[in-house]
Amino acid sequence: MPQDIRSFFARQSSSSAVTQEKSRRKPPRISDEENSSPSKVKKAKHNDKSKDKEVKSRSKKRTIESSDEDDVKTVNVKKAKIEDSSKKVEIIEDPSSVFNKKPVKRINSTKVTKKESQKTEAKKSSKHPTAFEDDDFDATLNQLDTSQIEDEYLNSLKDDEKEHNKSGKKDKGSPENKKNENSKVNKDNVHCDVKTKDSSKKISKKDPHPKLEVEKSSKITKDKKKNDEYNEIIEENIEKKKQHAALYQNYLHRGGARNPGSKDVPEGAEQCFANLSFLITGVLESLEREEIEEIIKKYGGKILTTVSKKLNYLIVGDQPGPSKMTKANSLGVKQIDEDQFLNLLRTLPGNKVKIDNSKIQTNQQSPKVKINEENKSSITPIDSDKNESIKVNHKSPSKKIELMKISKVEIKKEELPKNLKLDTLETASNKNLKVVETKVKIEESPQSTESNIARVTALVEKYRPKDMKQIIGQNGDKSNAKKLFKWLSNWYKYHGCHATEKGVKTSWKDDSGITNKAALLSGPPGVGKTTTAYVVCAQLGLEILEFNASDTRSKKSLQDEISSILSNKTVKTLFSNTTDKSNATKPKHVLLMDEVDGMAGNEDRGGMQELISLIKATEIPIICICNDRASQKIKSLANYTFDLRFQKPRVELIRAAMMSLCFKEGIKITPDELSQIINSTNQDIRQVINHLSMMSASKQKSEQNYQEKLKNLKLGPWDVIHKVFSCDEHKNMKFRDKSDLFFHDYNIAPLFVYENYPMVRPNAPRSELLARLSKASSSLAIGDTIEKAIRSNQSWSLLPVQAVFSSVIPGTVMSGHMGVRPNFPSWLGRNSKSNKFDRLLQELTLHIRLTTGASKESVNLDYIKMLVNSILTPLINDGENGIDQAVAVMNEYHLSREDLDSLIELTQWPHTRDPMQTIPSKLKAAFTKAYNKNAQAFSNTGTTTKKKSARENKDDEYTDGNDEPLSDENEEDEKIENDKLIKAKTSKAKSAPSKAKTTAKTSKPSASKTAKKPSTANKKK
Amino acid sequence: MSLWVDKYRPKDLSKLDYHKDQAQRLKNMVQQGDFPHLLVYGPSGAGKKTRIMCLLKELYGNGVDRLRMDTMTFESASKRKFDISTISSNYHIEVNPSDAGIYDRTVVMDLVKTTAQTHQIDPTGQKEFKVVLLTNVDELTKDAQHALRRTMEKYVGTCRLILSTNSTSRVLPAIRSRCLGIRVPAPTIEEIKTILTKVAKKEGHDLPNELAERIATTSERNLRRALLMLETCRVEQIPYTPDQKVTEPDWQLYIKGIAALMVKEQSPSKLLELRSRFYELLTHRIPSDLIFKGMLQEINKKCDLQLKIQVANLAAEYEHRMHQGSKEIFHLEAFAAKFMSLYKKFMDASMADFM
Repeated sequence: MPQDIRSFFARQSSSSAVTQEKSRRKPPRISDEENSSPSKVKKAKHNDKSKDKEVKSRSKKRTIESSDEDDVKTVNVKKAKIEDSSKKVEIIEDPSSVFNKKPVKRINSTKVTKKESQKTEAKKSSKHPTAFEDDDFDATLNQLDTSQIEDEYLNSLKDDEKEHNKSGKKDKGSPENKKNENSKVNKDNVHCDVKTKDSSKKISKKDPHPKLEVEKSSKITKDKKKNDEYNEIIEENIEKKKQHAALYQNYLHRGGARNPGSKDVPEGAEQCFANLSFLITGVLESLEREEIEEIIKKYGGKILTTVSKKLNYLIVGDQPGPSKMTKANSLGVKQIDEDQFLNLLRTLPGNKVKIDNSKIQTNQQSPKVKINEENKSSITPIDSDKNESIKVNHKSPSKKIELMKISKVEIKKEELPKNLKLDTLETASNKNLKVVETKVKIEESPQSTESNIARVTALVEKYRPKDMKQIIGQNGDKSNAKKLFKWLSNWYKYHGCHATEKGVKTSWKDDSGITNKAALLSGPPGVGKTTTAYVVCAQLGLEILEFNASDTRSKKSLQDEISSILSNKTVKTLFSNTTDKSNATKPKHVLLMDEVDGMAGNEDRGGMQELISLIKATEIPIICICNDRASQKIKSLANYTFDLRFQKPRVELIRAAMMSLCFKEGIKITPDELSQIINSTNQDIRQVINHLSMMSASKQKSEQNYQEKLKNLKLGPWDVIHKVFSCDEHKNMKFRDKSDLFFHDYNIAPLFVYENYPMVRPNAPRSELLARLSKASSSLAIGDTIEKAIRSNQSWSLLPVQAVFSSVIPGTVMSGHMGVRPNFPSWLGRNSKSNKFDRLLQELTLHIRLTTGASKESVNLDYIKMLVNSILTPLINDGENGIDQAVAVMNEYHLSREDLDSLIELTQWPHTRDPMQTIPSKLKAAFTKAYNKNAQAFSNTGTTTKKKSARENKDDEYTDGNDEPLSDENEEDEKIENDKLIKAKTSKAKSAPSKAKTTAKTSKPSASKTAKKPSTANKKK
Repeated sequence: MSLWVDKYRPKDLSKLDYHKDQAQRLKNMVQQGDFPHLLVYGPSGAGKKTRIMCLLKELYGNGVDRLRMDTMTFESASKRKFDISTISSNYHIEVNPSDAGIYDRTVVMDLVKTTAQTHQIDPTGQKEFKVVLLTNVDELTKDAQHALRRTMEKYVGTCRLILSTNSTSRVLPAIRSRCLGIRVPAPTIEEIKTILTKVAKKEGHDLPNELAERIATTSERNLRRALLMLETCRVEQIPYTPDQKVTEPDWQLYIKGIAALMVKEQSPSKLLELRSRFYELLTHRIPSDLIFKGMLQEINKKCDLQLKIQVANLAAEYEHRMHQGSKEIFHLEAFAAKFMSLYKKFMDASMADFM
């Protein structure tokens, strides 16, 4: 027999060596088998006697599997032996206990087995065969194996140890350890027996043992063979060290997941990883390290950092850490790849009760935990056995055999204390329960809280920068964050009661703001003002007192709450004179006034004034934050603050940061789409993240969502005009989409369309070209009438109609492609020029009104040409002699020198020449001089003119009213003008022409005009 | 030294050169002592303003010639203050309310009230009413015209309104019915010719009949324009010769150029060229209806009868639409594009027939 068996094992060992690789490749299957073994196990139960064969066959598989787990084997070998022996002992000893299911007896039995196990080690060889030959062929095999091992063990303990050490097993094989383990195993076995008879899954537990044994035997044979090889391995190790450096380099250079998001992450059952621990090595194919960690945490799994026995799974990716691998190999940890992991996630059922967590706890803790569990489970435990069986049933499909083992071992251990405790519990004060529960909770808390945080926090919060480098667009040396940092770090040097360099004057060039006691951060929302403030303060170790819009910030409340804080001194500084040192140690404060531009209304009455006075008197730095720097409210505050303006970060900056965020979150998005989102949010980082989180929430629909988002993106008029006319775009646009284009900016859209429609080359035969053009232009004209209706009657409901006429119809009719770049609407420029001419005409009409009754229109159409002629022809024809005549005409019509310029401008047509060019500049100067002489004569008409001039200036202002942007300008001009005018009149009017060169400024003509007008009136009188 | 237009402007009803019957009637009316509100209408350059001033002189004597310029400040309903310049004598006040744009209503209401509320202290020797002269009434908004309605009746005792307008079509019927309409038709060619020769003679020049005729026709019976042209001719060439060139106004030439361009070639690039020309006209504040008119006249010269009707139809349609809209250029261009398309089609068709 032994020979046969040996031969069998020899074969096994060779096969196992071969299959080692296989096992690595497909561990999940094996684990599946393990997990799904219950079915097989059931079979085994049905025919106890035929079990043996099955077990054998299985044991082969297991050997394959367990061949990885070098460490375990040696230990297990011994366990196995003992188990077997103890099993038999149990079976023999406690049939009654088994049938009665009395835990007490069981416990006794375990005790017995424990003792026995120790004793029986030597006896086993003899005992086992007799006891087992009938029942278990497998068992006999095992025993035989064990006998061999035992021989070895007994004869050469030390040899064994050496071997173990060499093979990298850290288990020093001390007999004590083994004993402990044996004892555990014994307990297990006791359990198992009980359970088999309770129709629970004893065999599932049994299975591993035989395998292990088989493996062990194979191992041992291997070990022997390998004795020589170990020396080589040592050499290899040296080589490995060399490789390490290279590996580390690889590690540094290895990228993220190769195909991020290429695999769907299935929804696992809740807490399905509970009780499991994972370790990830290498780069996974689709999941980033953070992602997978999050998944594991989400489902209650644990992530370990080093390979240990507690490790359940080693998730192996590309370029795994070699040390981890070897260690995992040596410990026999299951290695799975990413797919297998996902499978696991898919298949593992969830655990509603958090028993698992507690089971992982160390043995010492476990008793308490157990009790707690029992309390938690709705069935009140009277019989610990029942509980367990129930539990086992609960878990049965989900749990791994190993886990069950452990739990049972634990339970066994607990049984004594448990029983004691159970009594107390059952009689039981709730307090105890609570205490226990709280303990458990505390133990669980790290996991649960972590997962909770991961779920609860918004992306915006999750990725809020934690240090200055993370703030987008604030990395530069001249960035606001840096400035703020410097300013804050220097603050106590220059301000406060302990200032070392108080009252330092700095040049205006110095932009470090050290003279200011407060800083004002301003900028659009979502660029990171508040974040910057927080991060900078955190880095300087300053404590922040924040007041934002949610706090009342009226004068009173500010006084009450803040001023006390701002000016407080520690008592210590009052008593001790060594102020500087003590000051350095105490935590410094910063007052953060967020959203100061929101300080308004009754609530915050007087808040701004109070804030300013606070700044003046403050002993701590104050940081104010606002959006609208130009706001009236902020203006007064800005004088007292160190002005830091935040600009929107560039799109590329945001995009880079967002791409990495997307990777981490597993959001699939192309850079183009991302930059479009960024643009559409106006470079608001927070908004971008919000968009992204929405996308991540609806991953499957992201495609569709994106389509919708595209629609919502706001386009500039240049893009719009392209879309309006491009036939390529039209292909996949509905009518609605086309009309939506108009609404991107309905003020400018019609103008853009109008400006560019003749430039489009429509996809139509040449003969149709003009017809199409006229169609488009007619439609635009109708659109204009609609716009008039909209603007004059406020009938904004007509806007869609205008969209059709002003954008959709021209676009569709002219659908083609634009050869050239679209132009900016020239209408705007032309219109303002037209307005200017109108103003000039109005001015002229007003001036000549006393002489002629012509209306503006007829002045424009008929008079002006003749007027210019009558003034300039004498000059052109007669030169110096014509001056008098020209001046006479101008005086007759009360024209000013500027009026002449505007007259000339008005009569200027593209095909006409500027008549002034023909006049030599000398003559011009003489003419101007002569004119001024005349004007001077009229200028001393008395004080009434001043009044009138002022009034007329007002009048001019009115005429500008049509042109709003200009009117402001004029107002300012007029003020100056008035002053100048008065001076000019009292002294000499010579200055008039020189200052009034620009005809555009209507105020100026009026200035000189008024000088004459009263005089002419007087004349007539 | 003023232009001939102003220099030889008649100051007296009896000195008017044409429509003498009407002048006589006006004189009689004034001498009767009282007269209703007047609505003086007629094309520009027909002499409305001249006639009104003569009438005022007839009423009040030489005092009306002493004009002064004033600025009145008004406050709109929305508390916006604005000023309007007025020309006034002791007896009358002349205002162009449309200067105030959309606030003309306020002007009409306040001005009439303030003027009408004061009675003459000494009614002897003077008329007991003042005259408010409103020009460009057709440009008044509907609101302003409605506001005028009631005030006209209410203050009839103390003030008379003289409304001056080019066309009554844009004056509310209610206002028309409250006024005595006085139509001042444009002078005939003959009348203009006599005036031109008279003026030329006074200036010491001899005006050939042919030249006078041509000036009269080119001026489109606009006396003001005719006189200005006469003077322009003098500037260019003196003494007058019968075959002397009569310079048309620049804008008119420009419009003709546009029309010629439209007829000459029809293509998108020409449309763009037309657009810039339209812009040029519009920035020079040439009224867009004049542009339409000018274009149509010029195009009609070069079109077949059949096409003429169509084009006239088009022009009417687009001009009407233009008044409804706000951006004139759109409609001008639309007309141009439509015409070009129509013309091209017509030409192609006729060419095909011909072939």
